[in-house]
Amino acid sequence: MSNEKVNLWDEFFKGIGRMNPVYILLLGLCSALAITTRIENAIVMSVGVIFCLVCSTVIISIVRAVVPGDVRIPVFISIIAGFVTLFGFFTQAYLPTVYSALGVYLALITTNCILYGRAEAYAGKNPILPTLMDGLGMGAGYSLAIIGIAVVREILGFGEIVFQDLAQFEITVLPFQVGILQQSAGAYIVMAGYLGFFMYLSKRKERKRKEAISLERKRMMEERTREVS
Amino acid sequence: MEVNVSPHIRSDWDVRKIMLCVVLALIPSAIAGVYYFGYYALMIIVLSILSAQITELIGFKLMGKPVEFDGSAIVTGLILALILPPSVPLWIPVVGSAFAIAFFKLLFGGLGKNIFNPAAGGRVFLLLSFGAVMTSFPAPRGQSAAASTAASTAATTAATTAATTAASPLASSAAYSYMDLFLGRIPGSLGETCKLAILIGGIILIALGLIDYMVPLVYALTCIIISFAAGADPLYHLLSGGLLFAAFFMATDYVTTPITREGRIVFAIGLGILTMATRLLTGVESISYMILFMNGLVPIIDRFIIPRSFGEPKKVKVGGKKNEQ
Repeated sequence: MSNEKVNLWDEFFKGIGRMNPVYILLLGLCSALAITTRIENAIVMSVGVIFCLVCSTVIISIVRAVVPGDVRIPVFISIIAGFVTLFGFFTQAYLPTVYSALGVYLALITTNCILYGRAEAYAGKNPILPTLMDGLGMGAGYSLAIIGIAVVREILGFGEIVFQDLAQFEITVLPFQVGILQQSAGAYIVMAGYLGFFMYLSKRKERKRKEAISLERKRMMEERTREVS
Repeated sequence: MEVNVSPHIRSDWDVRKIMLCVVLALIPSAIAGVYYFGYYALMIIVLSILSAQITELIGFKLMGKPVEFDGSAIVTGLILALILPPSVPLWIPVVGSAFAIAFFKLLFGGLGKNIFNPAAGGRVFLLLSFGAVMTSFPAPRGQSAAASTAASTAATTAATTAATTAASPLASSAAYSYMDLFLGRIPGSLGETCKLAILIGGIILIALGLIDYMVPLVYALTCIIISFAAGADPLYHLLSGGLLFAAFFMATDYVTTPITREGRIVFAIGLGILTMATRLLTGVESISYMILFMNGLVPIIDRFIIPRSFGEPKKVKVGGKKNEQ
């Protein structure tokens, strides 16, 4: 029992760290670059992706036994598109500003590689509970990634933080604007910065692991030579 | 006996010496800029150079590379300062140089590995980020009264974003005489206005054998032919904007242009076509963008123009199967 619990948590956290969809797997990049101009957009987009990802992967996991392998892709698409449409209507009704800002990228959650990849690579092969945790973790990883980009782009790019739908306030943070961050070129720069940082972290981790192994080996060798002498 | 790998013949030109000569060739333009726009221009130049060099040193430290002083950062800083408007706030050259060196040079691996011209990159970054201060040009000293009235609306030189409503170089054609354009009595970027100084610098570089005279020549000829064909004034186009400066100092950069001479000529023709196309069709000057664009094409040019090896038969199919012969 306890063993299974540990596994579930691992399923959750791998999406945030080790297998982060944006920074490690490099999935869902179009939306991560396109809609991260404002924090509010990024938050709504994250909620949408988490909602659609979790619901659709769980349903796919439920029906995986009865779906023939040949038609699984159309089935997956229909399920995902259903939830995306639902979320689209919800946003249009209650968050009109964000809806118009997100534009086509909201509908394009359907073709988001993260949803698709998880459905194909995970939900189609695993039981419900791990799938739920996997979906939540992947969604959380995506959210953290795009909100991270949006924070940098909105603060530096616009010099202010503006919420219009989720809350209503406007804070001026900086006295200047770095205009390039409002454009897609700036999105690439910010994203590359994050990517480089995470690459650096993982490389350093790997190096430390190797160093630890070689140290251990050295110590054992020394012990052995001491024993021999 | 000593056994080495090639190259066996070395010239006594090293990077530091070349960069020193490039700085020397840029000094006439810098002096002209300071003469026309005052000591504020000098401040811009000094800050830009300092920022570039300091960023490079910090970058070397962070990357764990040996701290070398090869002068290439000074050249980048100086070129960037010379293509900035002379009225920018003083933090603009600092930020721009730091960005150019960090993002366009060090992140690609340092000198020799940067695929884009750092100075052009820094300028484009500043233009996209701080458009307002980057597109206003003050009148230079000694500008004639008739011309200065037109100066406020005329953006004769330097790139402006498509969004700004800058008059095309052609629209203000009547305002400046050829002599004004040649001597630099026009509003424009710091070091780009005085064509005389640019020509002196370019001739120094050509005389020292540091740049291939074909590149500026082909570039200028392409622009002249196109403007002549389009019914525009070729001489005016040649003397306005950053055309000559780019021809001598940016289109001839060693790192970001093709390796072969044929390739460099293709590069110059492409740059000329793009420069004139944007000038004639959109009425804005955007040589920095075009330099970056052509830099991006350099690998393709290098791939298709392969020099014949010594002793190789003349007809060689350029393609994958060449090595199997």
